[in-house]
Amino acid sequence: MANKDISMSPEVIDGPKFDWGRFAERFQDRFYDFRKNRLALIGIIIVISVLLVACLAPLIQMHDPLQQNIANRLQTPNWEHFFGTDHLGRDVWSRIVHGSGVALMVGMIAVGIGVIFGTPIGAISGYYRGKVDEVIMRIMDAVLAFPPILMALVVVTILGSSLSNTMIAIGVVYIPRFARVTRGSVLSEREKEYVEAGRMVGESNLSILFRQILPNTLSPLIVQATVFIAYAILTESALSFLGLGIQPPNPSWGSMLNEAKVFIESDPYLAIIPGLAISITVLGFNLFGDGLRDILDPRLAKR
Amino acid sequence: MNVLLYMLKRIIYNIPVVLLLTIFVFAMIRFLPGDPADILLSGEGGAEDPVVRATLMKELGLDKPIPVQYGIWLWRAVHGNFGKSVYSQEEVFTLIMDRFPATLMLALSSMIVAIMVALPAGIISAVKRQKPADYAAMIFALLGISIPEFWFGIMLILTFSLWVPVLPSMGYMSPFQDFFGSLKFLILPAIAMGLRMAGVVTRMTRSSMLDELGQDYVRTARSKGLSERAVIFIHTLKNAMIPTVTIVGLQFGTILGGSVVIEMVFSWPGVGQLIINSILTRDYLVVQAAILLLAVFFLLVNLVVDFVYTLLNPRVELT
Repeated sequence: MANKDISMSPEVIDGPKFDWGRFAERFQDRFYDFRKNRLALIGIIIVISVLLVACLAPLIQMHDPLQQNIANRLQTPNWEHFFGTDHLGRDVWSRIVHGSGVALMVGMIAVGIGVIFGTPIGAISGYYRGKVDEVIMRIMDAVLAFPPILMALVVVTILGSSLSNTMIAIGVVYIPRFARVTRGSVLSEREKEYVEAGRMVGESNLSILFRQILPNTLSPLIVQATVFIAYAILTESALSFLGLGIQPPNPSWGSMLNEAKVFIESDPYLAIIPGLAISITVLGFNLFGDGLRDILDPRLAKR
Repeated sequence: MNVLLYMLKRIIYNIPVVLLLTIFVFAMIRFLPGDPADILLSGEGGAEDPVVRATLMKELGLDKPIPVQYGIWLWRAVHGNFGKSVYSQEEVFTLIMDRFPATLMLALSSMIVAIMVALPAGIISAVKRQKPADYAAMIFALLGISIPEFWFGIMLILTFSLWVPVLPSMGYMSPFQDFFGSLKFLILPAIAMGLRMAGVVTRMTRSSMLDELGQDYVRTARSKGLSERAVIFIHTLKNAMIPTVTIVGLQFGTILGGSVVIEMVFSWPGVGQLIINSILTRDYLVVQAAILLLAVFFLLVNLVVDFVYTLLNPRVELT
């Protein structure tokens, strides 16, 4: 009889469907804490500012970022050129402004690749456990044995250097990392009652996994994604600095630093400015990520 | 006995991982567009000599099916035979091993720099929670994980080699040749490379110290009338170190990766510089071997960290 009672309850038949309303409510409740958290607020302001700069780049630029003017080369910062000009006479301010778009795009698309491929891999691994899990996680461990930059270098060596290949190279680095995070949450989530209930009413494994378990593991995933965008931007700048990422004449902060190296003694501002741009952007995403962790993942929150 | 068994299990677990690593690295060359023989000879200094080509084909078994090629390659690799560099004509393995000590020295020094800064910063930060010292340490840690290390390196060169010329901006000297002379070259790159790890370890130390300080045994120790110093240094620190040791081991991989960039900034003659130069000269046999050796070395370090971890923490489940 008890069995019948349970099966009557719509709650159990459908399982507690992931409730976006509740998710948003919880988000709103905690948003108050977020506002109290000054560092996180600074982070979100930085991230939004960089996004705005990237979107409005053509309006903010003072000159064409690719326009060379040898007669005007290596000017120190002045009213005509806020950040001076580089060795080819290009306006550094405009290049920095356009570089923000490149950094954000690479960061977000690379992390997107990591999420799209890593999440299902980790989810399947954590849900089915056993042999499947063993095999998948060993492969992931092998990929993780390459330090991030080396892994990206391998991919860039195979595919060649370009904007899209840089995104792919960095994205590949994050696939096993997202797989790990997802696997961990799915492992603990699959023991919950609603999963058992779903199975009892004959829902298929894939449906349970992707429609019920996965949405409940979103919080740690969002936190990780934010932090990994910061890392991805750092990796892109390192690759471009080595001359193996974004190719000239495209404005990337990393390749600007690479070009500035030679002029470090005579024109240090050429090296200082792009580095500050990278640092501030990455700091923004790190602060934002810390704040999100406090909101979404109270278990991991800093005391 | 249990511990030994556990360690054995860990080693066995890593064998397939290493095999997979070799497959990836082997596949790297096969994924490049074109004929492997052409690719391997395409680097600068590669000869169009048909004899050289024939020798290479025979050596690597390039006319045989791919699994056989892999077998041949693996068998040679296990014996330290990775072929000859197209660029310098030297044995790839010797080329890498000649440069490995420099990379290892830089990596270890930057780890020491990072730990020397991060442990005190993390401990003070946890003990003086929400006081100015805590905020200072947390801001330092945030900057550490946000500033690109190669840019920090360039800024160090700018400050300490150009504006206040006290240290050399680049180069390397073997410590066996002149210990104190070599330190001069080591300081700037080690600081630049240690920055990120310092940030990560500071954050980890702080949070694990805070965890431990909230435990019952700490309250007991305090109520026994132990001095705060004894509570922190004798009771709490040892337990708080467990997560910190793990993160230090994991960060070692990042440090090895970071060496690629830092070595280019400071013209440090290590494996990282070798990898980048070999990519640029398309000397793929060197790239392949160097990446494999770094990854295997990283796995070994993690294995050691795992063992230290089990020794430090008797509570860990030995499964």
